[in-house]
Amino acid sequence: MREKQLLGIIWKCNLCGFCPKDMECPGYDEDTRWESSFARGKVSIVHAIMQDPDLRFQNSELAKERLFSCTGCGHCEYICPSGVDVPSIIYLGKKKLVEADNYPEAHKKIVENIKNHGNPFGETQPRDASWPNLKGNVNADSIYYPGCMAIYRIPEIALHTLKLFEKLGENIKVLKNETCCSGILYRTGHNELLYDLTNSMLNEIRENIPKQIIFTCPGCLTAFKEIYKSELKEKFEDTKLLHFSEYLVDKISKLGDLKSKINELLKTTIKGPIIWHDPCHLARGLGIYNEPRAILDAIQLPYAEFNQTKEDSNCCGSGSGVRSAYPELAEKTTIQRLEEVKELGAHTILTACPFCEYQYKSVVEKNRYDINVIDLNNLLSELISLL
Amino acid sequence: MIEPSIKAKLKTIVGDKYLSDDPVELYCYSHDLVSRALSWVDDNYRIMADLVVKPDNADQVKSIIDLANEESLKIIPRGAGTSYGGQFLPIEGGVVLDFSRMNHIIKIDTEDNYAIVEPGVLYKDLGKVLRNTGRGYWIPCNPGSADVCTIGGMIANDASGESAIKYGTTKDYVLNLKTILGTGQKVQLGRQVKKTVAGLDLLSLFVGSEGTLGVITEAALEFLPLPESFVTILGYFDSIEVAVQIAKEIKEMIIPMSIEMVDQLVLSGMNSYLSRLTPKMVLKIAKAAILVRLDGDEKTTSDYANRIKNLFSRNQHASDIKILRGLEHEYIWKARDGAGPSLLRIRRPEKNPSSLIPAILDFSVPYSKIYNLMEQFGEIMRSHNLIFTRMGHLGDGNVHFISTVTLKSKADVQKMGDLQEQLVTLATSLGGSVSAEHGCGIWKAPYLGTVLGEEVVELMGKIKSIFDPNNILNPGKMYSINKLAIFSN
Ligand SMILES: Cc1cc2nc3c(=O)[nH]c(=O)nc-3n(C[C@H](O)[C@H](O)[C@H](O)COP(=O)(O)OP(=O)(O)OC[C@H]3O[C@@H](n4cnc5c(N)ncnc54)[C@H](O)[C@@H]3O)c2cc1C
Ligand code: SF4
Ligand code: SF4
Repeated sequence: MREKQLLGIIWKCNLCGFCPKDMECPGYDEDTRWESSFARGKVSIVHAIMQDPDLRFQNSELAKERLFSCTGCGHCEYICPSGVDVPSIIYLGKKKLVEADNYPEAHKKIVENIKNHGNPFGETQPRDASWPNLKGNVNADSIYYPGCMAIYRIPEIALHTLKLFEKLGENIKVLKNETCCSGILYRTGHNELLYDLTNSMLNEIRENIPKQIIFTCPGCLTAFKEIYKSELKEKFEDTKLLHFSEYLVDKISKLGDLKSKINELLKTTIKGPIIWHDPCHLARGLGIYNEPRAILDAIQLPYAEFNQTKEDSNCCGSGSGVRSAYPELAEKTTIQRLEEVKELGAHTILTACPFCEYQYKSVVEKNRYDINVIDLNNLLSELISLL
Repeated sequence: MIEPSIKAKLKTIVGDKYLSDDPVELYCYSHDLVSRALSWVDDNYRIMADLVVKPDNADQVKSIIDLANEESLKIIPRGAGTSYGGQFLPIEGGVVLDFSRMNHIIKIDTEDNYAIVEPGVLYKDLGKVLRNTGRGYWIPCNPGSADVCTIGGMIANDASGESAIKYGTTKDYVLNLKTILGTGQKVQLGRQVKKTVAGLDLLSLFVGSEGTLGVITEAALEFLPLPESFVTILGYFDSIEVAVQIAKEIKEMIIPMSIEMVDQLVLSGMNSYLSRLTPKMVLKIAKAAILVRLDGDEKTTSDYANRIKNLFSRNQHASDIKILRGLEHEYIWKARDGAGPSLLRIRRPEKNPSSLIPAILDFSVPYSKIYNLMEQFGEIMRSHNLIFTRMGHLGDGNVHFISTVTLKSKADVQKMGDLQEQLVTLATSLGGSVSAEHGCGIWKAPYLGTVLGEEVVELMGKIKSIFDPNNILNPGKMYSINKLAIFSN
């Protein structure tokens, strides 16, 4: 979106202060409760930056901390009676700070890694070498886009997903020129790099238009569906862009009688009770929260819900580069979630976002919580193995 | 500019962590909707506090006020910063006193039905505790900002809302206040009793004084038993005139908890707000809708709900009459509370800033004049080609008019001022007030003389000088007119 348009959105904020001032806003500083740390303040900061001839605000350390500690979870937008798109305003603010070279060191590394290696981690080889063979499958008109997290950090997600595709008889391929979706670049203020870093991948799609692209990462799906549309004018008019749960929901019976294996699964691999975590980008951002639940209901998996769910669910704390720039803040938010899991008596968090899973897993491990975290596709694939 | 040595003293009082002079933080505390818009065409509206401090207790507040008197600092108390009159704006710079740390509920007494709280407690949080105490209680002031405003801000504004027709305003629930006056003197006003005529009622004087006389550090508030049930009757009408007439008929039948009217545009805004909730609820778009909320025991509320439904049904200009309970009842009041802000949902982002016309937001007139006010208001706005909405707490003659003026240059500010003047004159000529519930702050101060008489405003100024002789507390508000509030020549 153009700056002028975004300024119009800033003016829609009527400063009513209805936006969250508690764990609903991971960036809020509950200890000191400064105005600048919740959405109304962050919107004000961006307003100040847009009216800042002497760059006082653009060069401010506090502006940097406040804007870059926003996970882009969108909870404020959901609550806002005026429907203000706060995350987009904050992305604009970050962009202005990046222009002034005032942004977290950790993000400099991410940008360099994506530029040099096509992924934010700077990895040169995927963790698991078995799945890239699919690049050779030129006949498939369905694409699976696993995203960097599943390729380099939690390869099980990609491998289990491939197993599900196989069982469903889906002829699938991955992109030859697959690179980071670069959603993280947009969310950390580096919009200007988007075109160059995604162009060869997008050209491959444009040259051979697929029927559908299926994603396991809600962040990548959001990049394709929303960020490319607004920033690159790429609309994918003839291609369906689907989260795996959307793709699967009508086909679940094809995976076999999974419900007959639920008890066995709960006795062996997975420790119940299970609780479902709605990833922000998936549930609030894309409105996909009924599909995963329909899948769970179809296989008759008993699961609990958090106190706040679906569009109103709380963030895991890791999005938009917060995990890398402000790990303590991200951890604090995750711990609040884990405490809620404990309070609700659950032992396994089930979700459908590699980022949420990775964040939960690392905080669980560091703080020795007796809680497991598992991706929906892993669970389904485990059930298939039991058939 | 505040000297470093004074800053150091303030730091010693509140602690390093709780003082900020960072321009980014100061900016966040230094504008409201109106000043933000005006700042694009006139630099004078780029208001900036010098410091923000967050005291933790009454002693700290006293030390700050003492220092302010010694060093001629201006002090601007602030709750959640949700006022619409610019009450919390640091128009002369100075130190913003943010009460967000003084947010403790000190006592809930169910023998005498009162709560003692610090000023930074959110009305919502106190409400939650009261609901879950014993048989369930509430303080039925219900301003539209109930989810976010603080008790201190409510008392200082004497806030009220949709239930004022039956339950009155915040003032009716304040039993006593611990305050620190502008002089630095600690004074307790009122007793722990509901009825007292012992002496002049300084407690009532203090409630609604917008932080200009003293600072509240603790409040005792009466609470009432929570009613057994709530029900809402919703009806749509062909015209505002009929809606106003029928509201009067309801008032003759019963004093309900609320009688609200919203116009066509507000209904669209409410629909947009409701669209994000599940299960879905869609309102009909009509010229006007009336919401009547009843509370009390099951049988009485049901009986009256049916009587009101019949009253609506008998009117040929009414349609789609419904009795709402449970989730639908909850949703419609959520949407009503958010109705003002939700108008922005249905508005496309603008190319130029536009300012809310601040002094027309909150008129009240005698009931018999409500329709005249709305009609004549409409005529004036239409002659300026401006979009506007009308909604209000019909029950008590309080109408909120919302309209904005696009600002391309300084000249537009003056045009807005001229129009505002015309509209305020209309309301006052009908025997009305410029502020029914939101308070005066800076934006309505210029009209206080017209509403009350200059001599009355002068008396108020004299009272202020007793409580705050050095004029350190929230200067430029209510009884003194700041140049920023004068838009027209
Ligand atoms: C969407 C919306 C709807 C609203 N609806 C209503 C409504 O229906 N009725 C209504 O009356 N108002 C309404 N308001 C206005 C406002 O929210 C209320 O008046 C509210 O009570 C103000 O509380 P606050 O905590 O935000 O106070 P602030 O706005 O921060 O301050 C209000 C005043 O209180 C003073 N103050 C704050 N704390 C203290 C203290 N401890 N000691 C002394 N002075 C203090 C401040 O100096 C200021 O003058 C609405 C606002 C919004 C945004
Ligand atoms: S972002 Fe929305 S909820 Fe927050 S202050 Fe602005 S308008 Fe109100
Ligand atoms: S997007 Fe999330 S973290 Fe960012 S301001 Fe809104 S609620 Fe807070």
